[in-house]
Amino acid sequence: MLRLSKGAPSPILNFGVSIEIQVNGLARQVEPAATVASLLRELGLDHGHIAVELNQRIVRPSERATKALAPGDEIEIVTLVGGG
Amino acid sequence: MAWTDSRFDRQIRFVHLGAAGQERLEAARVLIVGCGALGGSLAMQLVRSGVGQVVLADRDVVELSNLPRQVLFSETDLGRPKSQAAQAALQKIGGPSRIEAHDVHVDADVLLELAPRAQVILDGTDNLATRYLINDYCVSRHVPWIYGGVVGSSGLVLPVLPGVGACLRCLFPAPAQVGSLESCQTSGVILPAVQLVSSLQAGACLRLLAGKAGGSEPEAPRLTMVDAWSTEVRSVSARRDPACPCCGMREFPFLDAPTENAAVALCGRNTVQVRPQSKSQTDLARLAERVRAIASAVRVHSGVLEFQVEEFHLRVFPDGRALIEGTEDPARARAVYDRYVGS
Repeated sequence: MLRLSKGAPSPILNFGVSIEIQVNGLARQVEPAATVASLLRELGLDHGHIAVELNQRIVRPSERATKALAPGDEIEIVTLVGGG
Repeated sequence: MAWTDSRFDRQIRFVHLGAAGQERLEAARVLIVGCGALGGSLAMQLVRSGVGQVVLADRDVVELSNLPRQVLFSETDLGRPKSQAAQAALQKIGGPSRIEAHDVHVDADVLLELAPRAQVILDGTDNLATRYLINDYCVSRHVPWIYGGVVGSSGLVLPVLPGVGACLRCLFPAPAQVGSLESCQTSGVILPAVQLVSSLQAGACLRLLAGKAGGSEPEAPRLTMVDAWSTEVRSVSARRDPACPCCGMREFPFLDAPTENAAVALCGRNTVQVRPQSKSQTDLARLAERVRAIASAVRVHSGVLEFQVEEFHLRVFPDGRALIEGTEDPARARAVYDRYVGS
């Protein structure tokens, strides 16, 4: 299962304008201008073999760059598993 | 039905099955693609549950490192084709199941041969290429299949019900490139994770087979993640994507591709599988005679010819397919194949 550590605090945190979201059940701070795509980049998960759900709705790859994050958003990220 | 009187008494008492559901299980045919960790556990659950026809397909042989998680195999099976060893283990359970074993690499041609009478296809494969092929087949023919994947202590399950919920490509449009994901070779895998994933797959399968006797109408399934170490369970909605290349646009490139590469590296195993250019039966006894002069440790075991030549260990199957251990380079393996098995 995807393991997420708390991200390094962004410098912008110092100004108290970051927003808090939940990623796979863990709280995380992101910039106010963050999108699903920027979050995935930050997590090193912009490789395409993942499914992303935002507030119980799947976010397709084509929508990720424009889908803005808001305080309290709940994100689930699932990585494709190939073993068996 | 005689079986249902006593053997399946506890299942018949289960409210979602009942006698009608049990009869549906006995009338059902299920294809399990891959017969290793997930596939073996799936087959055991289906046979014990009394599914009437269980079709097994696997390209591999039993190895020592399989035993901790591949529940159907024993030390006495080492070197045996997995489908045969699994069939023998399952037949000991008895009951109404008829078990078919196919010692083959499942490509589009083989799938088109094995799948048509199956009501459900279960994923016991260890690679994404075969899963995208199964997805193409099942969406194009409107047959349910149940994806399962496992690595480390965790895994994923998605029942794909064409017309009802997402297909694999709605959620993961393109297969990952070889080597870009964690594999059982790089990240290991533990039996509890295999059992969790295969049990969710098997439960979904029995529910599908039980049909209306199984209770509610099918609802859009969810993609479920489970972890046998952290005990975490999470799931996401698996709604159809109208723009999905497979179930939306009805493009089936994995099924329509003429043939995949004739030589493919088996992930992380230092082994390449080479398939013959044309399909024909190979006379293994004659081949054994031919290579005896140049190879060592030549033997035919459970219908598989094995020998050692140069730094390679070869296993040749009756359909002409060979597993060549000692390289991960498909071109090199192809050359070894042509040299010793014949093109």
